[in-house]
Amino acid sequence: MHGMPGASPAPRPADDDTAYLAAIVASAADAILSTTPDGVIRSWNAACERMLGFTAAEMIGRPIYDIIPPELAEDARAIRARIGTGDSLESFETVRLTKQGRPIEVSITFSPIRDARDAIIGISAIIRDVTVTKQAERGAAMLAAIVASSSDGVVSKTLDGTITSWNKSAQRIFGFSEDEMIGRSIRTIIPPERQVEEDRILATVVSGEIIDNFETVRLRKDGALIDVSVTVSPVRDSTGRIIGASKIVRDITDKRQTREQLRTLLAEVNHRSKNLLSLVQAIARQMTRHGRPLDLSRFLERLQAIASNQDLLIQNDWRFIPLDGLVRSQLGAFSDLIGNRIAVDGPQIELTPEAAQSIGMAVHELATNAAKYGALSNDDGRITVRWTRIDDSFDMTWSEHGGPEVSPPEHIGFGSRVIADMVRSGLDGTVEVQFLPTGLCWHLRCPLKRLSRDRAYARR
Amino acid sequence: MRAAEQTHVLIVEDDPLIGFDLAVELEAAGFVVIGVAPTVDKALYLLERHHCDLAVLDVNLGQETSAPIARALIAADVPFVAVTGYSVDQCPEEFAAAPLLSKPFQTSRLVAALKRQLPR
Repeated sequence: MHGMPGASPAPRPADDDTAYLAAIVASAADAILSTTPDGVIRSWNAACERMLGFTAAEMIGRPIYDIIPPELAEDARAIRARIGTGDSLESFETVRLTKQGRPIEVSITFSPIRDARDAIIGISAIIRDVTVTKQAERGAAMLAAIVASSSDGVVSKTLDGTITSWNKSAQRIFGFSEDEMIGRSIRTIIPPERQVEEDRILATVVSGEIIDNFETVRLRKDGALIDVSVTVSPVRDSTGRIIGASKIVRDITDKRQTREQLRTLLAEVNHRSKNLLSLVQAIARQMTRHGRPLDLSRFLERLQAIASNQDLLIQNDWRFIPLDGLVRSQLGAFSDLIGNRIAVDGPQIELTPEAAQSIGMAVHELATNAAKYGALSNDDGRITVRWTRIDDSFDMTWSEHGGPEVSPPEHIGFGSRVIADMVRSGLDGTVEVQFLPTGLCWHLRCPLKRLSRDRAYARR
Repeated sequence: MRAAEQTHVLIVEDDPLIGFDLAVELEAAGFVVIGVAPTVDKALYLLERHHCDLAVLDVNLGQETSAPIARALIAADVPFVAVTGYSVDQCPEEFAAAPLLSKPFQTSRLVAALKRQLPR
């Protein structure tokens, strides 16, 4: 019995041959060891020492289980039992322990060792450290999983534009499956008028440059054009030679739409704010006609009335203003009197913003006038605000009772023009203002379609 | 006949108070206002029934633009001035050749722009 690696009892070959084989084993790059059938180590070459840290002197005579993690000992025993019956096992992937107790991933080929009479007298094991390979494999699997599950389309292509990989998101974005696209040209998804882009992209990639977030348009399988952002990077082989390109594609249709909506919105804000300034200008101009000085508090009240309209408009997404809400809002401080001295009654009508401005301004002027001279200027005057719709026409009345005796105003001021002329021309209707002794009566009649876009009221 | 010498103007403006204000101002400046139209339909209706020498068009009418009115005016050889809260590049092409006043503006500027459109 000696410590020569690979040595076995009753060697058949000549001593020279034995020494020769032993030398091969000793200097092999792979770790090679042998044990008795019950697992006592009998040989341990230099590569074993390099891989596992134990010297031959330390290990010969020790049980093989010294280098097997305890939780794998049972499996190892079963394998060794199989080899003991004459089986061999190639490239079995498992874990072994180094002298420091660090587990390393290995691939082991087990073979039985037979004597001259073919009896199994031991087991040989050739161990290869596969830690690095395994890590690389895991890394590659991880990258593949990342690519596969990416919400961006990830595509690779050769330098002539032939597609070599096509992930799930590319399928989702373009509608073409992996099977349909592998081997096909990337030009399949480029609209005819943009084919020249691919020449530029390839030229850039060949020069080793990256194309970063290039926003363009691509073609879906169904023929639809989609907005995408594309990042293209060169792919190199192990020698650094550029062999293709990887392409990351993001569908930016939503982003583009959001940007366009924002632009439209800003233009709208521009338009509306200038319109509002024109409106303020118109009020100031009409209030100061014929050299009248500006009544600042009335001017500011009117601006407040316009602001209230805008609040109601915003509450309904700038589409309409409910007439009932408009009347209540324009009664302002007097809305507390609704149900008591003020009766408001009429069907639900959704006014266009323009109609709401006419009626809102009129109600504001009527309420202000009532507070100064009419039914709200004493303690027991009453106002009835009532509207109806009959077929295609709209009818609205503001009538005051029980206020101080009324007489027509001496001059036609801004308020009078708003409740009559402006409403008449704005709503294409007729307006009657009567200064009855019992109280003011304002009556509007106009086509319903001038007031509301609501389909229920639209003319057939 | 004084009426024959007067210039008949159509005002297209969807904001009732601004439209009213323009009508008052233009009448004060000596024009005859044939109507204030807040919609394309109303404007075309007025153009069919009235003599019209000049027009003031608000480019944006809420749900529509006044481009069809501009086309009708161009076809009838009636000059017009465009007024808008939008910037110039946001206006339909029908307004490319018309003088454009950005809102808000002084009445005197509108009157001057209108008078420049009249044949001398």
